[in-house]
Amino acid sequence: MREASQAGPEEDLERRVELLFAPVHKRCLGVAVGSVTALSLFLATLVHMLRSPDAGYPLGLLSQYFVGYSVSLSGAFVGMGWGFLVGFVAGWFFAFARNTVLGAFKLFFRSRAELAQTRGFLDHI
Amino acid sequence: MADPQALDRNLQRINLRAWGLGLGLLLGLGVFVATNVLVLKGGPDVGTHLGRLSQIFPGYEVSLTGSLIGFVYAFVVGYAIGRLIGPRRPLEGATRKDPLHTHVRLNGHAWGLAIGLLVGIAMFAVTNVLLARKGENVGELLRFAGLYLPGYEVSFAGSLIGFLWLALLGYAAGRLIGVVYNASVRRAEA
Repeated sequence: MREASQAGPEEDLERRVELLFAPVHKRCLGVAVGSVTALSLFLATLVHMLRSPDAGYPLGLLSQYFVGYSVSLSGAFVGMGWGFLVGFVAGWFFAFARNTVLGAFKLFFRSRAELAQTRGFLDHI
Repeated sequence: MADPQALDRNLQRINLRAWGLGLGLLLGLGVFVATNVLVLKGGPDVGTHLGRLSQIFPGYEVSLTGSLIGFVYAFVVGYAIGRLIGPRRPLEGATRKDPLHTHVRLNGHAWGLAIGLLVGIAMFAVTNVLLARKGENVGELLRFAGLYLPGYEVSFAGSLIGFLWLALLGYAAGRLIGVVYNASVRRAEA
């Protein structure tokens, strides 16, 4: 009876830790950031074409990185594809890095707690 | 038994640190790769435009060394941003009871506000840093932002207009990321 009442708070604590260490979904964040980047680049290209149809500068500089991109209607679609790709990679990588760092913290604290638990045993050797 | 609230605060601090490190690495690598793509491409006038980052990041240049300096600057900026936009309650809105299969949810409104304020303040600060530096062609490249943000110009009044525009657009972008992400996670977890 006494053991059961003690297990309750510990399980609750364990669950709380698991929830706070919950991962970001890599693919979903990639899709979300990719979609917003693609849409932004598409709209920026269209706005540029409407407001300054003669000059592609400075948005056209993106062609240095995005092969096939230009400030034109077809370029807007090419930019959308590139924007999604770059945004997806950025979102995925960010989630990966964040989850890895959090996982490393979790491992560190768990190892330290386990070491602290065995300290008493080591004193008896 | 540790105080649960103190434990939550500590865990949230670790969570924010992880967001900072994640975004710092992303921005740092972004500047590093963008610089080295231009360095590898070569040409007579490499990085005329990207080199303007040195206006904001002293010591930066479009070279291998510059890319490392840029990495450090962008990492620091990304870390600060990550700590600001990281969710305080990572599982807000989560419905699943099984923690092993539950992913973080994003609060779209909070994300929108954070991203909007950050990009707005960045625009305000960059414009005014350039104004304070003075020179012949102040904000030669930045003034093109007026194409996308009606009313914007490289002046103090323009910096306020730029702040409002980018705060609005940043809010919309952050909100949209939250909506798409949460919908995708719901589908993936179903």
